[in-house]
Amino acid sequence: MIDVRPAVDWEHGLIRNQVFIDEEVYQQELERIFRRCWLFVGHESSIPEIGDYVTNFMGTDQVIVLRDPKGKLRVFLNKCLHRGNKVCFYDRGNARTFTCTFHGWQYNTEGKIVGVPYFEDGYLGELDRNSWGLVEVPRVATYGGLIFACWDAGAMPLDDYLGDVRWYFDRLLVRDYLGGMEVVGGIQRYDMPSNWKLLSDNFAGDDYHVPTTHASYFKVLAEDARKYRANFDLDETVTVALGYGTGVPHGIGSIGLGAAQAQQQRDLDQAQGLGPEAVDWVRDRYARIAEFMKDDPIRVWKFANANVFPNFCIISTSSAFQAQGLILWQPRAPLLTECWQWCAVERDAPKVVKQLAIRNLMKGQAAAGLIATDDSENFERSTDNLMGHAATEQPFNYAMAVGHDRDHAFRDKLRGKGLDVDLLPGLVGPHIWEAQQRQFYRYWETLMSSQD
Amino acid sequence: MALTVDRVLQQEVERFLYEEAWLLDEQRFHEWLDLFTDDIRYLMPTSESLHGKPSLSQEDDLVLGYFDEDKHALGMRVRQLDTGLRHVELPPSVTRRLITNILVDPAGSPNELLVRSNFLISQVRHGRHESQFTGKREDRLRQVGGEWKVARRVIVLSQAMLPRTLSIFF
Repeated sequence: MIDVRPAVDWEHGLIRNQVFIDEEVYQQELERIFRRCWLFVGHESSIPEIGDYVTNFMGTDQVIVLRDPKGKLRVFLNKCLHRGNKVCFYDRGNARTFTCTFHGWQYNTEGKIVGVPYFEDGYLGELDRNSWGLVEVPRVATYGGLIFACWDAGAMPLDDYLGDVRWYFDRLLVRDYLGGMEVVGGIQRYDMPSNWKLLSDNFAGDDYHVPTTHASYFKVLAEDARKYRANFDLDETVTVALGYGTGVPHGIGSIGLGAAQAQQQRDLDQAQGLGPEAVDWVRDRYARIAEFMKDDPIRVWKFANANVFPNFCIISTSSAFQAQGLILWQPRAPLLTECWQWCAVERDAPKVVKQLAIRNLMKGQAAAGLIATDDSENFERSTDNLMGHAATEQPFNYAMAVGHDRDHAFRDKLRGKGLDVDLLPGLVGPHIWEAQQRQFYRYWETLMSSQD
Repeated sequence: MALTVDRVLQQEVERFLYEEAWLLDEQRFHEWLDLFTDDIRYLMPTSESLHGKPSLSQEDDLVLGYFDEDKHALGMRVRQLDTGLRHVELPPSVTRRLITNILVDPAGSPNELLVRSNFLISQVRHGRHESQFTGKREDRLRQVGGEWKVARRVIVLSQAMLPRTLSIFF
């Protein structure tokens, strides 16, 4: 086993390049990160009926996520126990059985063998079918329709793993009080030439890159539709590090504090173009938001991005007119990651609102959008350097405001406006901040350095 | 098989598609944009392999795609390139578009045609990172003021896993 501790000085925000490029580190991650953490594998709305399934990856292992005959969610390794062939070769579907195309072993949706060709003549009836069923991922749990699975039978419960990230997602992502979310058909998939951690830590909260990386996007928006320009006070935009210190680190970026008035007005403007049904729905939506949050110590009205450790990320605006992107950064090699991106809309929204919301997501942080494309270019350029020799001697710098996680000057500024951010869950920082990224590597180092 | 439109018209459409590819390969994006009608709908769906009858439908109006653009949205993309800050096209990708298998058919309306074609696009970044995109297009061409324009385009990529993000036009 490789000792990563010399490479990770997260306390000072210095991360050596080896953790991104080293093949041994990568293999160790597959075991110690992806075999132990709760991983996002799909959404319940994608498999509502008995026999519905989707295929996905947990790290580098392909799994089948399905609803069994009793309605229970199960996750199986997509592998025939005979000679290792796949038993399912579709992105999604509905099935009662899965049959291997090599020698014909057949399994039901509870993972049990229900067919072995030549069982009598070949095996003389002596194969113990009970011990050769599909390998099942032992832990499956949901939060807000999001399905997570975990290989570690002794792992903490999902609710504990997610921790306080749920407080924010309850309000801004899942929103059961508005009817919850629904994942639509279709998935975007593309190769990203970078290490999965660099992509994930970017979603944990990296508003720092936004003005530079996405300069062309904001310039076009500004020319295009001034009335839709983000109209918020950046002093009241914050980042949150959940699990700060010792817990599982999840980061949420660009959280807007306060009531959703500006966004409500923008959503109403968009609804006007879609007819009275959309207008009524938007008015009702914001009334319900205000009601749900009325007792909150500080209201939050939006977030832009989040990382649920290790590799599940979300892109959002919390507007009804922008679908939420659910993203998995699937590791493939030290410097190769697949992006898998789904699209979630508000279940109770009128169809015209959903349609517009999907189109708006496609134009932004998406494979052909005006945003993600510029990220991919920057990651490709840094990856070119990660293949250098001299170029990999200096650590990456995550050291912004190091030593000031708890006494950052922005706190006094907000206190002056009557906002005590300590009332919110997690450690709250300014919108341009790197503490949550340091936390990502703190926990990564802990997992990589321990066997249990 | 017989031509379903006359030979001159077939050649005219071929010339139109080759000229369009040339404009894109030469980064003449504003001239390219003029080849579309004001009511253009420019679509590229995602692709999933489906098994049996999953209950989540694939209604084409409630599904995540790659592109679903009107003229305004295409124009925004061109203006984004104009900013000089569009990193993913700096320096510009070198592209070559091979357009083939052009089938031209009447569209039912006298001033419209249905045109199917295949493409192979090579995109090279920084002189050495090459990606290839293959697929088909189904276009509805309309005569506007004596000139052909694209009124609807559906692009279907062969790949379900794209080699990179999409910063070029199809």
